Amino acid sequence: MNAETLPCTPVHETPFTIRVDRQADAAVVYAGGSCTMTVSKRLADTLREVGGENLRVVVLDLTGLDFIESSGLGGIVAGYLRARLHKGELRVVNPTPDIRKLLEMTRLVQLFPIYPSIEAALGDNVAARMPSTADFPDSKASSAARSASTTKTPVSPPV
Amino acid sequence: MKSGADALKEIVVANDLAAAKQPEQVILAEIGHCGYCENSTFAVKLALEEAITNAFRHGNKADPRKTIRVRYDITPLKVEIEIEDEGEGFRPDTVPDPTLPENIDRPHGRGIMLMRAYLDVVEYCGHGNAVRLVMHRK
Repeated sequence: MNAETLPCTPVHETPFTIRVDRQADAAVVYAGGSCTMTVSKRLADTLREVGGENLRVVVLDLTGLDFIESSGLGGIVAGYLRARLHKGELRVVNPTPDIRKLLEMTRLVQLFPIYPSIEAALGDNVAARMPSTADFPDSKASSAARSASTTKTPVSPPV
Repeated sequence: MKSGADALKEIVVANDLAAAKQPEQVILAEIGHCGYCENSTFAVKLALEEAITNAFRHGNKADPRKTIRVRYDITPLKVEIEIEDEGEGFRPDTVPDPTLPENIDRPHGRGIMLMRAYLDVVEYCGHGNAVRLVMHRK
């Protein structure tokens, strides 16, 4: 079968969007839609650029992102590395359950904390971050963390 | 490729990520027609994107003169996909574990791990230039 002759019913894929809101010593990067293999470079390029601006914190808001593949995850890592190189920090806000699962499965939650809101991420209060299963080594606590993350309720991580 | 490959439909596209979206769309449409749930669709879409990206980048080295072959068979009970590039192949056991502490901050190397996490079967065929993906209905 040749690709040109295929009957193809387009499957809905939300267009990828990315927007940067720069503030005094921080920036909020809003990523939305589907971060697929054809567009993941845009995420990487944007995060590298913003990460190199000597900001205290780069907040990546994933509220509107419904899909990401490993190149996109790699782009987030690249942004994290660039921000760290410039004495800043990358913080992730409100991923959907599917994407949160990817971040936990790849253990990227060990690199950058996940926050329930942009306001919490822009602040310095580390206790505001959302719990990760990586924070809870035993299964009972992991279950609690998953439950809490599903309801998007901020819970202080264990000391 | 594996035995039984004759039963699979085949799409051949240029080694181009945009072109490779077409077989992805065709396969996801068939999955939709078979009534798979959103989680299964997410899993197949993720695995397809990882396998195609690997074929494009690592197998065919982004060479536009090369092609990617996508074979598939979608039934209400099982999704089976094979993706083959024209590269020299590789040994998947030589890919570092991306979740080890020393590898976590590497920008690349998570694709195979994600495919294995989401699908029931991920096996490399031939001389390592083709991957077979299977997901059974949950």
